[in-house]
Amino acid sequence: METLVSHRKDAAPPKINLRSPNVVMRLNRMGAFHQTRLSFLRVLLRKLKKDNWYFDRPVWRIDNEGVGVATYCARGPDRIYSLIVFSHNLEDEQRSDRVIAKAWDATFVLFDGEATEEQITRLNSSVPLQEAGRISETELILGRANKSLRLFSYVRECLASGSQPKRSIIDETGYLMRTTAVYGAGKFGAADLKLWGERSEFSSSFQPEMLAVWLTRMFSVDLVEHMAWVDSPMSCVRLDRQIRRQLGVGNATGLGMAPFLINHPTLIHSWINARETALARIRSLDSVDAALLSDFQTLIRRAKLSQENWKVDDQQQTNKIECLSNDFDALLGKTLELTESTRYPWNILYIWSTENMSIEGQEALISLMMEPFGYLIDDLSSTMSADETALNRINGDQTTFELKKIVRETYDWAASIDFNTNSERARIWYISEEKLEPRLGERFNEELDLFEQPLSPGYDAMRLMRDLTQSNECTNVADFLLLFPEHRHTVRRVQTVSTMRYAEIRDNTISADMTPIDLLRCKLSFFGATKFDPRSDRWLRINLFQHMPFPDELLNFDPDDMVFPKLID
Amino acid sequence: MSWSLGETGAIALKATRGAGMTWGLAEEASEAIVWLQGRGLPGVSALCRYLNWYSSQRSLMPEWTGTLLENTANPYCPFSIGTAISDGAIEIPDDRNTKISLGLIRQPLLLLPFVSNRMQEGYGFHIGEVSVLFALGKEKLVSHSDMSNTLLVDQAECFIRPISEVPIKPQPEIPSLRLPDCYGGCIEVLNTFAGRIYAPSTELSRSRGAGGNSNIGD
Repeated sequence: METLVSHRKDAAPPKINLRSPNVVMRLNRMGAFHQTRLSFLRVLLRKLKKDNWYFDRPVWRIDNEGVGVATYCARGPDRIYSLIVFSHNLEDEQRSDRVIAKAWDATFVLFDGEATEEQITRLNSSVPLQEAGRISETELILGRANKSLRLFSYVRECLASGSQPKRSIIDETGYLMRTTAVYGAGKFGAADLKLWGERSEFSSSFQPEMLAVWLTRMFSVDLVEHMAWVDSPMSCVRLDRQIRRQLGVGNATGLGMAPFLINHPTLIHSWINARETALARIRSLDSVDAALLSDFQTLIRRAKLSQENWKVDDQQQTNKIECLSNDFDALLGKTLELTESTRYPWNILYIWSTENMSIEGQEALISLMMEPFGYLIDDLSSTMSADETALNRINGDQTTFELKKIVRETYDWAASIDFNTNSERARIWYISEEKLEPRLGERFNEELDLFEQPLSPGYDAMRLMRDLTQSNECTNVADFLLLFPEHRHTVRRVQTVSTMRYAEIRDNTISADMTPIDLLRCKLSFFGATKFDPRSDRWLRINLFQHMPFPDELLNFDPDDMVFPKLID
Repeated sequence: MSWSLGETGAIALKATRGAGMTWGLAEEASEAIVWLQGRGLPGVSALCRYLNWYSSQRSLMPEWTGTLLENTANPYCPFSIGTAISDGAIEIPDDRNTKISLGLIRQPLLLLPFVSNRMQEGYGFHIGEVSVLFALGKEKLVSHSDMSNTLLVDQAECFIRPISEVPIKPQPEIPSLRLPDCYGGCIEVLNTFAGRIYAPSTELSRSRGAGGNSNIGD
């Protein structure tokens, strides 16, 4: 698939193709994606900085127990958004990351504008209830967060006693609070995407979510400083600004997010296509100057520093992180072979990585390669959204011959799977009635067939193919669907994804060895998450905004130079 | 309390599936409801009534197999006929002299989004004896008057026929892309149907979900 490039100066330019979906859209690779400068939190911070947004905290009514309300306003050229946070006094035994929890340390909304007292009062009666309450079209986001109790208590005690927390202890957790759900796009009564989706500040995906989480990070630090002040007003100190930037916002994510990648093929294509286009543009560059090469080597060292602080309990991920360390060493060595006269140096690095680095390392390299080339790739962020509110109309005039052809082309990977074996159909996606959340069951051990969600496109496509093959009397899709209405959703999907190379995950999403956290990590990497910390095969914790500037620092720092710790820090 | 159109569509999808229709048809129903409500038409009411009727009377419903049966005693499913129109299995010819009978349709309001998608300029969509709606192409709808009550009928003979004169009347302003409070009862009904697609939780599934083995001190 890839065209190998010659090192000779007189060689013709290599033809750099986008990577094949058969390479990219595999779960083991998607589960190794890293954040990039196209990730949504980075797009947001760039935009806020470029347009000179500024921030304040009009309301801080948090009492000595840490209970009350605070508001944070983001003020831009045309609009204001407010994070309204309700802070609660939560008993330790009530604190849970599980979606079935009923109480949290903090609950919040992102409000469209600056809220009046009446609006804050209204929200105070519903936001703390989360899914059991209702919000309105003036709210874009609903969410909640819990303290990382151990780190929060430690930092509070340090600050109260007039000392700074140790960086090594901060790094063990990396955040004071972690969100356990951040809902947007019309859920629980929030504003529909159509109401705000065309605003320039939200032109990429998940921008209101990112804004809400970033401001929640600010709240988490304000709260710990406040509680330290409560403990000891005379001796307390503010958190050192460098140490403060070591704190991101945690997030615990489970299966609720997993079906998203399957249910939004157009959007997923737009994300991955942007990323792959960026990679292809960089690989096509014909040279690198010495200064940039030196900067890139520094960047690898900074990434390695970040990797050294990435510690997890999960043994499989630990092994991958150890491989990544070796990968960075080898990569650094490889870059030392490059000079200003090396032609297509980035392509050489990429091709070399596919033969010498782990998948985790290859994807980390892609992330690093994008860092110096904002001028070349940042425009792609505006392509990373899609209006999926309207269904793709089924083309009933399409011949069944043509439909069979595109099934064969798009689902060639599925044709090699023997779905008659139990292990290839071992899993079943369903929604639990308890919290209306997606879950993954064992098909042959649990009575779940009646509740199956259509989240196995490969299997569905093969069943469609079987019936298409056996119904030669149908000449077009409209006729076929009269006979086989049960394939309607699959026909629509096939017709939709066949025009977009990265719309479909090319793996069996119901097989016994499918790992749901691969789906989660892929999506979270596009958010900009770091420190992926698998807690089982189906949920993980991450860190968002770690090392990034806080709202009061945005004017003074370049957020694109902060994702990895500085070597001198 | 009000509902966003996004969550209205999500409830419609689950409810339609819960009532026993295929996932593909449920997707179409969901989009149809959002289409109608987005234009100020009572799609949720129509769906609510339809699913209630469908759950008890579906065995009486004639199956559409490619040829419409006129004068049937029992009505057709608006989604089956609607998707047949949007797929092109029921053709809407360009011939200005042709009248197309769509048969007796249950909750014919639900047919409107599908018809609109295929409607040619110069044709009108008729529910019962009264011509209530003219279409000027895919997205532009022009009505005689407030259609909300007129169109919310249990069943009616529907047909498409050419119209000689198209009234030029702007679409009414839709006050909000929201489902107002008064739909609370309908939402409850739809939630009941939607509940049929949810599986009871087990301790195993709970313990394996996010946060399942978390430590409060983390």
